[in-house]
Amino acid sequence: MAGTTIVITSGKGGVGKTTTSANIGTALAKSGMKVVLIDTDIGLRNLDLLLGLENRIVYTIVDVVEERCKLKQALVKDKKNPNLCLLAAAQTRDKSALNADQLKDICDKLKEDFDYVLIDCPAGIEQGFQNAIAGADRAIIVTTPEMSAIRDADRIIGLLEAKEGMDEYHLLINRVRPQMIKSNDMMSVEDVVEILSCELIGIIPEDTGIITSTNKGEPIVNDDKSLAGRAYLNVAKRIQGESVEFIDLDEPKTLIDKIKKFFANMKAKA
Amino acid sequence: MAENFVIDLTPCLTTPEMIRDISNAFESPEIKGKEIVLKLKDFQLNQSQMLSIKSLIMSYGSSLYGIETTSLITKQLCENMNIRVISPDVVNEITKTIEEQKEEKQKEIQEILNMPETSPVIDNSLDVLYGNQTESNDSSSEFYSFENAGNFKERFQENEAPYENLEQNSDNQTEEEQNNDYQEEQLSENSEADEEVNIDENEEQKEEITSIENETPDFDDMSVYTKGYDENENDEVIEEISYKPPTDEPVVPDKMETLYIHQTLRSGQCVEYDGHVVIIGDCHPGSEIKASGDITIWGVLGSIAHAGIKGNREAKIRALKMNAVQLRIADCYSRRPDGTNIPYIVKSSTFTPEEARIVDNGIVLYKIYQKES
Repeated sequence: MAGTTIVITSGKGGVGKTTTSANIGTALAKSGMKVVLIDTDIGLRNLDLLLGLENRIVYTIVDVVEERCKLKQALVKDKKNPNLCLLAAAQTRDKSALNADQLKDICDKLKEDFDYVLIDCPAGIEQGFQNAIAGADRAIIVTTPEMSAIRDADRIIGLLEAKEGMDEYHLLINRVRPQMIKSNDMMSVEDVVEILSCELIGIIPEDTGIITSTNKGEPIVNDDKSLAGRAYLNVAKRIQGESVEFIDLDEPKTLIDKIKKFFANMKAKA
Repeated sequence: MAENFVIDLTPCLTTPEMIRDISNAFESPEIKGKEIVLKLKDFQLNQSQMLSIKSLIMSYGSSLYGIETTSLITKQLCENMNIRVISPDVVNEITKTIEEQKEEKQKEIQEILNMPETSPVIDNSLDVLYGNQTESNDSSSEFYSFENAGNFKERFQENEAPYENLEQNSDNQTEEEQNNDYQEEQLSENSEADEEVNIDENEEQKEEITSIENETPDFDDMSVYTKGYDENENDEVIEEISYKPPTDEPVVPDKMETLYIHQTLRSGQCVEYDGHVVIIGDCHPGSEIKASGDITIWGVLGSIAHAGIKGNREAKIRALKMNAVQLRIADCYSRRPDGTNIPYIVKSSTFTPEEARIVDNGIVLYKIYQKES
């Protein structure tokens, strides 16, 4: 079977590439797809922490490239979902341990066995980024509604457009705060999409649960109550070609908010 | 004339180089209180450059005595600026007198001090202390440990640079073989396990690991441990040292060299050594320690530790606090149980020193010390 390779990138650091990778990967695996996550952030690996697989890593992608083990030996299966695998990055090496052709080879091999190959890209536009996008068919650009992140995302889109074999790329806006957008303190989703003129694939609200989930090593999509988790599940559905409406981030949380909204709607109708 | 100092600027091609050379020359103590003669040859200076050099020399509290040059333009300029132009012969005389003075001074100093050359005995003992001596193998075994004590710092510094080499070499040779062996053995041991994904193998060993964690170090364990320790290590080691002179036998683990590190290992740092490793400090998650002998950590072990990488199953891992992500000894592997919440900061009052050893193909943790309550 021929799978799809998707690179998750952003340019700027700290916007949530790794969180997005872990959650989309888990969400896709939950829907029955065979997914492999590749961490290409050699020297600063984090994806294993987010998935809670840190203690199971024996071989890394560098060991595979340097032929110290077979590719299948280096794949770490997820604790809960047998459809999900992780190919971890080496922590004691740096980005130069890998080159673009080697990663492309690995992606091509993995594509035969998996439906989706997700690549977690490192921040920046240097060697690590070039490696990560080498084997990718599609890209998801993660950004936050901040000028600096948008500027970097714009640069990334330019680089991706210049790359051959990149079929499509989508925008994912992370850490959106509806309250701040309402009070005009934050750029709205529409503004960001307009600036970047790029098709949208997901809106993820800011969620404190992300922090606890990272610390626990449990992706937030496994938490059904979380709004961010639901948003990531929807992104996974959109990746598979379903059309899902964007969830309403303005959902009232407390009872008082609900009553307030009810009356507001009454007024609007009258 | 004797109060002049010559600065040779002939190798300079640009004014910045000249300025650099002049400022370098002013760092030497001989130049104090002397007037400066510049040797320029055919280099052409313009007025502003000349002024800047002159003011530079002034800024060091000295003054420009004259310039030796063959360039007509510079000569003209010097005349305009009231600077002496000195012929090459005079410059040579000056340099000669300066050198003669130097020699005289050195002679004087030697005569005054009249120091005999340092005695060979002192030299040798210093060599022993700082590890310059190469005949360490010939020295007696009693001396051996002392020498090591002196060598620690030096050896570590030496080893810092060759880390990469070490890594590369052993990656190619020992590591590769080791890993191959390791995989084969793992596979053969767990023949039912899927060969596809290594986690399947890991899960086989899960039982062992959980048993490790559940094992409360009760009195039996302690007695086993202390018994084993006394008999196997202390007594025998002492006997060996006192009765057997070093021979050409294959390396016994007890005779391995030791790498002593006095620093905290941070994420991404890797220590690999053919011998024992002692670390005074913590090992943060993400770092790696590989040794063909034992690993001893005077601090919190929160990373991956691999003792006995060349297949020595007797190797041990000790730490004041075991938070290791993975422990590997020779071809055995164990990992931290899932869901153990390691606190962000480990308080020193909760330290319980532990030692990891291979028992029946599994890695078992023993408490080295327990407070009597």
